[in-house]
Amino acid sequence: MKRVLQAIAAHITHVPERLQRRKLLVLTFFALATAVFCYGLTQLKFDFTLERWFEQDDASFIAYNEFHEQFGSEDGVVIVYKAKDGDVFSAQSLQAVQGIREELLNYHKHLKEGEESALDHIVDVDCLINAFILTVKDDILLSSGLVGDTVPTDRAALEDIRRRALSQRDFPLKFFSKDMQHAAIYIKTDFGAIPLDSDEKPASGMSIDMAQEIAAASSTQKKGPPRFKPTDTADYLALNAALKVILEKPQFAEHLEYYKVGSTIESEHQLEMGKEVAVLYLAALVIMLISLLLVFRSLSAAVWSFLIVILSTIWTLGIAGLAGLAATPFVTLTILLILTMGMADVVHIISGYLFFRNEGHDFKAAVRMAYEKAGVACLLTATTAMAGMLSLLFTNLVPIKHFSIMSATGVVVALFLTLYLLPVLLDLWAPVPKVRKANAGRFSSLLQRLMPNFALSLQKRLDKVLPVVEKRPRTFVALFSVILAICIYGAFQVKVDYTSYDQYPKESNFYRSIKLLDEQMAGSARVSLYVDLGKDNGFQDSEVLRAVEAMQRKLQTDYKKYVVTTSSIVDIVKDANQKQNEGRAEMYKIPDSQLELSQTLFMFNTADPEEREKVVSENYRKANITVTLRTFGSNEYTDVFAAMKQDVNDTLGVIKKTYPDATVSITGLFSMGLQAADYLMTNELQSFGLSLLVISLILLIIFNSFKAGFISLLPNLIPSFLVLGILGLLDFPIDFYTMMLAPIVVGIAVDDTIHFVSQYRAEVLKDGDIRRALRDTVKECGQGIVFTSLVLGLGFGIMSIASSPGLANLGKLGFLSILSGLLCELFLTPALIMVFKLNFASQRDERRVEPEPVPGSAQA
Amino acid sequence: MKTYWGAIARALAIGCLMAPLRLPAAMTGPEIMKMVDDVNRKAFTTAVVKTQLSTCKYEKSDGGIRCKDKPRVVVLEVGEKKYGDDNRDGKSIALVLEPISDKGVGMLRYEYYEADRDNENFLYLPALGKVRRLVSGSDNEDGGSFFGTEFYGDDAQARKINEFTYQLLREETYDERPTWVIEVTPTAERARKTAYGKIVVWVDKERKIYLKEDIYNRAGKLYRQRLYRKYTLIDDVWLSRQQTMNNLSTSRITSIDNISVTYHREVPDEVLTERSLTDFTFRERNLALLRTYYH
Repeated sequence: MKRVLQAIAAHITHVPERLQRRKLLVLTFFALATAVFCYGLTQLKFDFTLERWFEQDDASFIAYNEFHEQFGSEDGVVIVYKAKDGDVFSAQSLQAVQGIREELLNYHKHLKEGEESALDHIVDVDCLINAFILTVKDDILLSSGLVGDTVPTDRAALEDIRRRALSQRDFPLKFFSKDMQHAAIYIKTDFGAIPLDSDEKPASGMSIDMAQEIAAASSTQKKGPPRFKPTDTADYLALNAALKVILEKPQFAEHLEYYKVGSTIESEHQLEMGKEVAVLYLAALVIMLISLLLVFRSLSAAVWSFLIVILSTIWTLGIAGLAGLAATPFVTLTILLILTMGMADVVHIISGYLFFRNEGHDFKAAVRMAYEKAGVACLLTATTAMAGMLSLLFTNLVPIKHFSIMSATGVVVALFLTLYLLPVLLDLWAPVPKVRKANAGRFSSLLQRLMPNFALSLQKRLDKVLPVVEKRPRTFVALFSVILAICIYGAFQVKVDYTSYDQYPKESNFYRSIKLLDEQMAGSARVSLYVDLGKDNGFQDSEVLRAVEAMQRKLQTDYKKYVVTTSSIVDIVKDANQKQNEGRAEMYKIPDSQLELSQTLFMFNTADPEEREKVVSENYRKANITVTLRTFGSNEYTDVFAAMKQDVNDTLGVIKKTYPDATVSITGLFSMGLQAADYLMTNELQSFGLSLLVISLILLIIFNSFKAGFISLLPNLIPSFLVLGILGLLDFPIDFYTMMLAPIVVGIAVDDTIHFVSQYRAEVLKDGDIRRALRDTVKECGQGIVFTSLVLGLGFGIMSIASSPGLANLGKLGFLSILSGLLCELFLTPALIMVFKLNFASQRDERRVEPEPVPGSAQA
Repeated sequence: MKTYWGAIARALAIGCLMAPLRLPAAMTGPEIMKMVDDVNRKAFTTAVVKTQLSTCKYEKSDGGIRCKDKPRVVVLEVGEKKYGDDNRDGKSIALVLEPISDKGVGMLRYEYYEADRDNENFLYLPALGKVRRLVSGSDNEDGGSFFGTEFYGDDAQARKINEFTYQLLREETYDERPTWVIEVTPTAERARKTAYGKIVVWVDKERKIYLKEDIYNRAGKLYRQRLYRKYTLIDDVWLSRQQTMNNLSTSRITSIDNISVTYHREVPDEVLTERSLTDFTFRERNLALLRTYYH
């Protein structure tokens, strides 16, 4: 290991000189590579859909796709509207809704031949206008929409519509609120239900041989699980924009006030969030620029630092685009990570360069020595950070895997650019002129006059740190140990809690829409129980229907707080049976005889096969039982869902006696969200533990000492556990974003430790004097650590002003972690070194025999 | 809902006289369609048909389409008789033979040529013992679903010639047959009762039979397609043994396969009454007679 490090150190030391000799070639290479990655950046696809969080062979995802194959997409839009005149059954409200429906479905007449529209994704629109009603009066069987093509204007006819709507058991809450001020439009789309191998052209001109199909269905040959095209965020955005154009038309908007939910609507927020992150990213850059100017008091140092992190970002995202990785909401974290880690590398190198220039070395020697002292440490910190990131690969969630790969790539790219591009840039425009003229250059001296010497005042404060620690090192160790113990205890209390509106401010339309659906309508969440009996005509069996009925009743009574409505083929059968029997209340039941049941279903299918298709398959083998729910956090729903699953499985147990091949899946976007939260909870903690283990091993290898490895690890545990501990102790649940913070912080915090312990090791190996070595380390390395912590902390901290609560929490907690890491580095690490008397004695003996440079850093 | 099955034999097995007519040099769309309608109405007076309706959701596969699941199959026995001048009005009855749980479910249909007189449809469910008149409350239901299939009632009947306007688009060869391609557009009155914005039909110039229909919705989007396949000549009537109605929007398809068909045989008037729906013995006795006619 030592020889490898020595070889790497030698390579890194001599690289700047070699590159500077081939300046033009190097710059051409980086320019071309940047052009390629800029192209790659344009190929980067954004994918914010929850369904793409899962591996293709994940059982939940397969069930979800099978459900889509049978019953179509459920990734639609719900528009709750408030009638401005206070009555959803008034002529003007109904006319407005009818107009909206007409425009959503009949947009084609405004298009040219072959022209496409974002509205092409709309499959169906359900609202009060076409809400299906089956009526039996005297000898007439009438099937119709509630309103139909013509909205009446006379009061009596409107009241008749209201009366008929109220008489339908499933209309209140589903289509309108109890106070009749709100109503809903359900837009069904094909998002997530377009077959992967489909060319999206309709099957025009194609026929089918049914005899062959019937024969094929009887064979035992199983086909593979269905696959569907991932939905591009651009499609969501386009549909959202098209919807807005229609809804905002004065003839509709003057009568209705809208509240919208669905992935299509969320895409706009994601876009806004992306824009906000871009602004915050720029703000972070400005803050860093100011920090760098304060630190270095040099414009070129600031400019080159900037260029390296910006190029690192472009390269990383470009590589991701070329590799076909999708950008998810976690891309924000990747960008932040590149920004902070990349900046840390550059700060260490430029600090070293300035330090040696100020010591009187010439340009070439200063660059060489800076790379010699800090280059290997940068490599080691990048390795540990990568290990931290790659530990996330063991999760089941695809976006986190992509995040892991992209972040690890980002760290490598930042290091690569620091090692191979920065020397050439420094040669082009050096922070201190190549021909040594201290304080030469008008601009430079102006800058130095304007900028306070932050480094000087920091040095004075750092000088006071070690004497404080020296007085009571054991007290510091005990104090930090107690903090760590409390944090670990708190971390075990922490809960993952995810809701669909986590990322939305309370005053946002989306948040209010969710609340409105929960309080006034049928709930904002929905799960589907997808039942496959494994046998045709199973759902014409009254015993099966009775089992489903019992289950629906149980869900509605035992889970009243959560379940708003349930609906299935059973409700349709009972409704049709009652209507066939003069509307008598006692006939709202599953028909007694099998023949009556079968023929009731026959009648319903004849009346409206499209309505039948929504709840049961053509051959009555598969059914969709819809349960609408109020939104609560995933933490609360985890237990509720477990109990619900048990009840559903109990029902399945009854059915299985007659249909042994029957299966049931609880699926839908909401269910998938809960599944994702569950994966996060179980896998993320494992990943976190794994990252700690990997980093410990690396530290052990780097320092070749158990004691040094232990001392290096401990100061990193506190910032890592601090976030989880605080959240756990305050009973504040963590979401997807904050869950990601712990392993990231480990990666960042260990950077400081490696620089500190490496520096200390170099110092203590000189004479074995622990106190002197610590003093010099805090003086030299402490400054670099404070600077990088400042840059990193502010980089994360700026996110705390984001409007999205999740991102804001990430900013606050990230800042807190980095701050705690700094305190640990300055107070705990020296205290531990003193208490455990870490002096690398065995290595010092070796060194006497074979004096060799060791990996270390020397900071300005 | 108006579920029409009455003109099933005519609509499912659109026939025409074999002898080709001598045509004027250049016919207009209305002239062609009037001629085709005339030929079809006069092609037969009675029909007895045993037919199978198979419906499934499909997916595209290997350049063709395949059912996702086993198709739902309904087998019907149909009797039809025409009345009035030039066979313009008609009565028909369709009885479910399979699935066995729905055996005896029946539909009776009275069809009228006049545009201002709505056709009448009656549904009988034996388990409930009641005859219901079917009415479509909506303005654009196209007669509702035909036994829950992709065919609508309006698809299963000969269109009332005066409810549409016609335009000859072009003449071309389709499926190796010379055809007229004609755009059929509902009149303002008819437009209120249909979701069809227009239909483009391919008519065999020699046999005066339909080969294909592209059906557009009111917004002008092609959303259904009807194909006529396996034409054979039975009792001097051209019969399409297989027709498919493909819903391009929902990827659901129904195939009508005519298993047995016979024309020009005696169908007693009392067969085409409500008694045939409700009186099991009466119905079975008459059906036994009709079954002897099958080819």
